[in-house]
Amino acid sequence: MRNITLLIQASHGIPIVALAQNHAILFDSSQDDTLHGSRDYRALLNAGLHRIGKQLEDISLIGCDIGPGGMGVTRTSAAFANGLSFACSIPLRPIRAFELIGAQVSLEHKDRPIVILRRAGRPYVHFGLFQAGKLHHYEHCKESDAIAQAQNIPDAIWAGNLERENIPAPILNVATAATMLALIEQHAANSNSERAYPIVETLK
Amino acid sequence: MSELILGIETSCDDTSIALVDRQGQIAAIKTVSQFEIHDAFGGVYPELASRAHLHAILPTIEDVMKDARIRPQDLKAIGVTRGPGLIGSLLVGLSTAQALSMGWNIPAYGINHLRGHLRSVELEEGKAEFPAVIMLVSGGHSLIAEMKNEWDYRLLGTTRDDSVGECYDKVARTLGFPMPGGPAIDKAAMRGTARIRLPRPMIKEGYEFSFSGLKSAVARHIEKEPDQNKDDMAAAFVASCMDVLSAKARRAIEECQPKSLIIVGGVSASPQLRETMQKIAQEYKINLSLPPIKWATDNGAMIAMATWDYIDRGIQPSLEPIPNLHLSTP
Ligand SMILES: [Zn+2]
Repeated sequence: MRNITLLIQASHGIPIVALAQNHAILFDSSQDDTLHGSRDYRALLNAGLHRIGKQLEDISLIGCDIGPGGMGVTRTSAAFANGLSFACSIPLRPIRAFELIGAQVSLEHKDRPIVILRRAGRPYVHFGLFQAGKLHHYEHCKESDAIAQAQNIPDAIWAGNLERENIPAPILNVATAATMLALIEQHAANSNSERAYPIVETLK
Repeated sequence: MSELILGIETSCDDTSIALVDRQGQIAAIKTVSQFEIHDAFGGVYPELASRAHLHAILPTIEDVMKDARIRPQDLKAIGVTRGPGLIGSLLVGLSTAQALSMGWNIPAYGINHLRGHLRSVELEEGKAEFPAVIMLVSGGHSLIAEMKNEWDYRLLGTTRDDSVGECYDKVARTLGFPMPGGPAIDKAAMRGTARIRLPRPMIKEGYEFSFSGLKSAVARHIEKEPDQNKDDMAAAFVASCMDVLSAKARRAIEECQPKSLIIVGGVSASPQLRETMQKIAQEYKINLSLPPIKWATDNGAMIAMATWDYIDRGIQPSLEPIPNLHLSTP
């Protein structure tokens, strides 16, 4: 029966391939030392399918992280996810990395605003604000502008990968497979030909 | 229906997809150009190139399969460029090929782009005769080699700096011609007369090329005399390139005694080069093989064509991208 969900998260830098069924994660490549760090999506997916005793034909949905973040790694995972979606007619749902991170942090800090800052080509950063269960704001802007805005948000939790003096250390930069699954399941299904295109900054 | 290879070429700034059979007949091909995207930057902008590949690749594959009325199960394999090329662009092609290979349950071969060029002469127009002397002249590469058969070769020389095509583009820019520079230079050279004598770099020695000095010589002339006739300058430049390329070709023919001379790569579209090489081939009484002009530049068909050689030899390179892949590595 086709009821396996494939999750691919990569914009934080290290690809994670996970497989889920009935709202539960059955396989997570980040939990396996022999697979962790691999960028070979075919090998990761084959290992996962083998581990849970399923076939490619059992996959009924693909969730794919579209960043912003590492451009090369995000584009590679998107190309793979798109190709698989096309080849096997599996619906695909792209998901923004800042929604993933925001949802992950808010599990423990439900009522606090979450500032997400990810490095981009200097002097720019990706800046997001996640609040009350939603990504309220996203922009690609100068690091100094982002930090000035973020410092004005009272009681914020900081996430992402921007580590600098005089700003709070980010608490995390990646969501768990379970969080990603929950978000993908909430997302309304769009057309069957939806594809993943990474969020990229405007060239300046 | 004969078996087909799906060829995917995304090494630089064109997304090109083709379906090719063992005889080099093309069942369908589509190339999506990124020329307009990069024109404003005065060169290929790698980040924009890979972004554009990601958007173009699946619709192009879909179109080509529809054009040829091909189902995935009719495919023998996928061949995809793994280098040389821009890393971000290569990755889009390779990751897509990996997913299609998995989804359709057919093998995918990482193909050396240079081998694709070497085999482009076989597309549509049939067999080249071996042994051959082959010259690859394009915007990305310049090399001359002896090919014993369609697979085994001996590299005679490559460029020490700019490729021929790169030099054409840079000189076109210096002269204020529109891009793509090659055809603009060709046309101007036909109008002009080679009154100025430009250097012929490395004409007397071996098989190596070096075109950067020639490009600088043009720039110096223009700097000294900004008002001089651009067409004459283009003619002088082309005359110098032709002299160098023919000297290398003659040297190789005399040494290797081939049955044919093969010219591939984007610069083989140059009418002056075609004429020059035609004369040489006649003089030595050997065949001249030129790919149809449309297959001279980067395309998916040449990658598919080369894939047959890998299959025949049981070579299945990984889908790892190698941006500076050398001809010696399959
Ligand atoms: Zn090329």
